[in-house]
Amino acid sequence: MSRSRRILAAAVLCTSTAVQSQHNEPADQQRGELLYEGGLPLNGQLRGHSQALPAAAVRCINCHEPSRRPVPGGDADAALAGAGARFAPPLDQPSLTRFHARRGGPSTRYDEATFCRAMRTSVDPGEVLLRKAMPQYAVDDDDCRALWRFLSQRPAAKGNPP
Amino acid sequence: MSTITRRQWVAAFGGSVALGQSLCPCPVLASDRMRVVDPPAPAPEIELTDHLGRTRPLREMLAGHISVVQTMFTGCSTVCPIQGAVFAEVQRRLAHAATKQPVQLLSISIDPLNDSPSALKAWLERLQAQRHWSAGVPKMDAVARLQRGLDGPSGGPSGDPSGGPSGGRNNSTDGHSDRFYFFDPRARLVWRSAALPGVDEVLEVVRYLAAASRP
Repeated sequence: MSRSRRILAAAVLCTSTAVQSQHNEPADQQRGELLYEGGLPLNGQLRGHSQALPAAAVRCINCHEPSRRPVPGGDADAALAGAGARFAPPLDQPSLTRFHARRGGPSTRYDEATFCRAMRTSVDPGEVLLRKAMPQYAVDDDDCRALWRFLSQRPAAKGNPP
Repeated sequence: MSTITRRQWVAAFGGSVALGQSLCPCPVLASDRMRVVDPPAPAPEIELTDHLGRTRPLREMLAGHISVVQTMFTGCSTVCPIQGAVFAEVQRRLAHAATKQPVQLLSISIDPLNDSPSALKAWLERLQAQRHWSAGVPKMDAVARLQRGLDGPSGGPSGDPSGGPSGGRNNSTDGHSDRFYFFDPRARLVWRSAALPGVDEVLEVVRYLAAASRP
């Protein structure tokens, strides 16, 4: 193959890969949304535990969306006031991709690699350990990329600065 | 564990109660993941209505058993499903464990407004609870007393260095603890776990208490 033909073939391959990647992105985002909401199962277990948890117990949405609060100390007014509180931080474009201090650590932001590392090992981009209630997920590269693409482009969650 | 004699168990238990966990022969109990309650604290003086609709004093429910207790509420989607899954696995493994003392699991709701006996029963059924796992809910005005009785007036020490809700109730947005509480057959709180203990850790404490509580 002549040099010009090799260059042409490489250019076609690059273009094709880029187009394919762009085409896959919506599908990835859709898959990411399903994984986030529990429509597709994730496998996870708590740090230090030896058994996997049921898929229903490790859905991201369980903790990263506002949840109903019970009646602390039997105070019904407090319960109403607490409605909408989140157990865990929101997962959206601003909270993940903008620099800010997390868990008392340095100012950091996530990218796909640090996001996937946090999911698998409970260590955030500032090398700070996530709380124990955050499961460690046995998530493969494709699913993790799908989740990242969905969450990192998700508009600010309600109540979170845009 | 098979190499530890009963005498060692009992000696270690007595020692750990007297001196903290330093003499305990088992790695889990010697770590800060489980904390001895010294002196043992009587169970809070409250009544619970259980998932079958029976109202009884908590102390009566606990008496005569090694009891592992957790707090939860059926509408909780955060740590409660995880706590429930851990209890389910503890139940499964206890079914194969030989303990001289009867062992029971008790899930106590902190949401009296919403958790009726039927809601508790449905929650237990979802987790495939068997007869040694029950659930109960106190009256509204007893919830705070229950939490103080389990965690102490200050909410207790945090067991999770990574922060978050773990290890105590004070920093949980849900307002409840993700620890487990261990009671002896005299209905006394004798151990508290750190946040979301593992099944092996729970079983180790149960075996330990069963050995220490033999008549």
